[in-house]
Amino acid sequence: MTAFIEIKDVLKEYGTATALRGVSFAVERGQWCAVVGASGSGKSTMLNIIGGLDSPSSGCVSMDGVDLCALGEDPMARFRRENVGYVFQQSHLVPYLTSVENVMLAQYFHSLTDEDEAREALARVGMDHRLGHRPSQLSGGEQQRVCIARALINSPKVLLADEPTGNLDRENTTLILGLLKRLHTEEHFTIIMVTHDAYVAGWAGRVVTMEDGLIVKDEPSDR
Amino acid sequence: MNPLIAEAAIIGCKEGLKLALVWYVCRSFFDAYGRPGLMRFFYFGVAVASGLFVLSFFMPHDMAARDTVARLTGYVFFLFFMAAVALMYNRPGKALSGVSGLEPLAVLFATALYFSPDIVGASLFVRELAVLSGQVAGIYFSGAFAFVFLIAFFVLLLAKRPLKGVRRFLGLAELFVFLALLKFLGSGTKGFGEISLVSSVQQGLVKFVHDAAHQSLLFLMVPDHPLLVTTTWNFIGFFFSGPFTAFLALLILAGPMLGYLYVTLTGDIPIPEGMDSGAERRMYRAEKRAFRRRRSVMAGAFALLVFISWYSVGGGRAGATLELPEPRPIVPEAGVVSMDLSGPGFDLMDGRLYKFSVNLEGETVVLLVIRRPDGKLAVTIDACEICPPDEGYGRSAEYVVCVYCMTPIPIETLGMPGGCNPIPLEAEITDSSVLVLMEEIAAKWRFVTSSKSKEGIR
Amino acid sequence: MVSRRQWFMRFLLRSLTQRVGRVAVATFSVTIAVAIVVSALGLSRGIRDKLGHELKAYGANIIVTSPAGLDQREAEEALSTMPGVDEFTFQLYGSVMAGSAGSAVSAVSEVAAIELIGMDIDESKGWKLAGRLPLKGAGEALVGSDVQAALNLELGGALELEGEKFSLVGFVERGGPEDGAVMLWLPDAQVLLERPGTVSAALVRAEPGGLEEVVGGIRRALSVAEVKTLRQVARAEEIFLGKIELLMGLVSIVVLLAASISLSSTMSATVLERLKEIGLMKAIGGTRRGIGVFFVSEGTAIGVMGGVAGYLLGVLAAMAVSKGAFGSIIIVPAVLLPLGVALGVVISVVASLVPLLGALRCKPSVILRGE
Ligand SMILES: Nc1ncnc2c1ncn2[C@@H]1O[C@H](COP(=O)(O)OP(=O)(O)O)[C@@H](O)[C@H]1O
Ligand SMILES: [Mg+2]
Repeated sequence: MTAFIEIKDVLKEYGTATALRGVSFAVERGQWCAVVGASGSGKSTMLNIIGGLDSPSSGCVSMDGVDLCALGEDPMARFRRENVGYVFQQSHLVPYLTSVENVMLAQYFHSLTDEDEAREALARVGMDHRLGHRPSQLSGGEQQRVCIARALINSPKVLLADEPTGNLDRENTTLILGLLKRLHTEEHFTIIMVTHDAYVAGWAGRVVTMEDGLIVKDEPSDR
Repeated sequence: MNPLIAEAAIIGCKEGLKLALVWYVCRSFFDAYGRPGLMRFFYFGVAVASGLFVLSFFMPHDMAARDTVARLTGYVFFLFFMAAVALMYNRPGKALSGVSGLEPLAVLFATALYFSPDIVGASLFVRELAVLSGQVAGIYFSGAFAFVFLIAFFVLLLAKRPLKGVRRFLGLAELFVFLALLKFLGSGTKGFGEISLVSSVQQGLVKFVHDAAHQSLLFLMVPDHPLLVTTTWNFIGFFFSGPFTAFLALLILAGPMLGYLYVTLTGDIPIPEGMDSGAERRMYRAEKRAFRRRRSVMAGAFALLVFISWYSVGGGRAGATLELPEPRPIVPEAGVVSMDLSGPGFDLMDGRLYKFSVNLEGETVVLLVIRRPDGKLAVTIDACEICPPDEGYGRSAEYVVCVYCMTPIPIETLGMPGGCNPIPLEAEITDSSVLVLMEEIAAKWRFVTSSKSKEGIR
Repeated sequence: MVSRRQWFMRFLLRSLTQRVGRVAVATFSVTIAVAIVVSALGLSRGIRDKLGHELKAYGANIIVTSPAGLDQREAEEALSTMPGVDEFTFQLYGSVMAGSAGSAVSAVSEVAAIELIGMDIDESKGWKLAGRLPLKGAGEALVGSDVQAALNLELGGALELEGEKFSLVGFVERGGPEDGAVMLWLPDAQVLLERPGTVSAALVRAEPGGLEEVVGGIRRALSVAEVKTLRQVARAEEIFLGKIELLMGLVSIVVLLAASISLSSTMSATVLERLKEIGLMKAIGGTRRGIGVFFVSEGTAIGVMGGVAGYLLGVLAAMAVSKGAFGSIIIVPAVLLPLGVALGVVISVVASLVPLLGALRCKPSVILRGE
């Protein structure tokens, strides 16, 4: 029986540079795992490979029993929209769409659009007062919350977050982390979160430390 | 190559392609629904139809036989069409199921029924070609049916694997729609295309296809398509239906399909119990909808085809099209060409345009006959001194129109020589027929062919 | 619930209205390309209509003309004694200033230069006639349907030609050059155009078997005249038309190429600008096709807008050119509208497809690498 998410001996090279040097790592269903490490240590690369945004140079990745490396580009996209929710460091939103419409874009690629459902999802992250605003009219924290709503709209099996609080002040950071915490405890989401901030990592149940393309430490968090 | 052999070969190709296509789709269909054994009965059906082909050797090849075959083709089309409609409205989207003991019989019967009229009709048609040219039928039979097997063979080579996705697009009802559609497309040929109600629609389609090709060639300034010229006439149908019949045909053929499309495409999709996440519900709905769309493709294609052919036959803009009759072949006797003034289904004095084709030392000369408003009959060659003689004239309201240059010629001036008018012929009109000397035709035909400048104009 | 298609349209509208500048530039390129092609096609069609068919329906098979005009009496003598000639008739062509003198509303404003044909109008020649044929020497005129429409004339009214009044007794329509002309009896026309005893052309019908001899005979008898069989005229027209069409075709191709190049650079800039968007769409699960459809639809929308605008502009251009070059207006057929739109869509989609396919090949992780 393999774990829910499992990567084995993953090597990733960019030309001459090597971002990952044979990483093996597994996450069980319902776990909240933080990945920490210095800038350039390969955290984002690992997360992208887990989420299928990138493919490893060698090694294999599986999620829920599906071998991601065997999927072609479009089947990969289909797998992604049904199983993975992604939150980036910079809140990547389509600039000319409102909050609701940004969430609906994810619905559109998944199956059909449903505006009411999109509104509810925004309400869940406390954004019901900003439904018709464009990203440029929102603060950083608000943008990030729209991103979380969008990541969750298709009921993914796992939420991947790459420095979700990287550009936020302490207050907004706590707000976002509180949101993730609620999703984790109430809805039992599996979360993998990249950060370089010890405070943020402290919210997770497990902390994995990376250094120079390798996992050097893997332990439960203090809390 | 002798154009008659070419024509026979084209008929052979057409039948061969049809056979191969139906075979391929049916095979894939039976495979997809886990009943590959039924294919055997398909082969039996084809064998029965081929047996009828041998029988057709002993049939007389007169008008009556041709009419019978034509009517049969029409009935068979209608049977398949009605079966499709019945299945669609009874069990939309369902496939092969039910009394399994009857299925083999049904497959055998349907296959034999489907192919018999085509095979017999093609055989009659080829024999007629042979008689027209005064040559032995055997040559043409072998020419045509060699091609049947050639094409079938190629398709067999190409189609080792069954078609993918058959299940997604075809249920039993959709299979029948496909078969009816293919018959609709495929039986526009002279001699066995005259299905009373449907023929207008179907010949219109053929004309549409031809005209589209022809117009684009003209548009691209490519010289007229010399290869197609002889066979085109076989495809340009015989207009006779009033707008009403055409509309009726449209209603009968497209109506059920449109109804089916409406129901499947706009119908509710009930969500099963126990789907609580919105994403799950959306996905279920999207998949169901995509399935329904795919299953509607055949019905949509059928309706579209019917509509296009109806439109191109002139139903959509009655009177705006050119009347382009198909020339009736006639054979001179003792140097005289004789055309009956009236006969079953035609009357030269009814004001419509009539054409006759006669063989003049290997060349086909088309004659044009029409009653003028003053009551006299104009008899001319279907060509003028200026334009290439390939197409001749069509009729539109009170004009005949040169198909090449689209110059309208008032019908009352027919019989006058010169210019863009068709070259008049001296004819003797008796109580029952129109007589023209072959000498006269040969003399006037020289006006058409004498100048090499026609090549320049092309 | 908003349907998928409605949502798609909303998205499209948002993305187009948000970048008005870029969209306008792209639309403009398409407009220019389509306009030039439409006017070229319209002009060559119009010229074909003007040149063709003039004489074909009269039943003549030889035409005798002279640049300076023929002397009517001389020609009449020569032709009536010529063996092999069945019939002949004379015509005089010119152009006159015409106005509808009768209508008090606009006696001055509706004055235009129109073509005049002087001829023997003793039979209707298959015309579709409203009213009756003019009588000889009665100062009566027959008017083509296009002129009637353009000058807003009425049956029974008066028509002023170069200051002289003619009464309007009939309108004709046959889809030929007569539709755009005024027809008078030959003597009236000769007086009006101040060319007494002169004709522009003689239309001759001869035995088709011996055309060449008749042509030779007429040439000898009337030394100043140009004598051609109708077939030669038709062929010369075809050759001339062929050349014009070739020229128009070449111009169209060059313009299309130039427009495509400028368009594709605009489009690549647009796509590059939106690379992040493409990466994002991929990250949230868009397939290459699903994303491509958005951008191709945008290209289509731009193509449709440019196509419609280009058609209108092309029609105006064709009218202006024909007015300047031939002194009369060419009607651009409406069929060119769908053709123009199709052309616009094709070039704008092709232009956007090239950069788009490249962008769609990129990995989302590379595009979105947030530094
Ligand atoms: N697309 C790329 N091309 C080249 N080098 C890359 C690319 N992505 C990442 N790298 C390199 O791989 C290493 C790991 O990067 P990354 O996973 O982004 O680190 P982290 O997220 O831990 O800061 C870095 O040295 C980085 O320069
Ligand atoms: Mg990083």
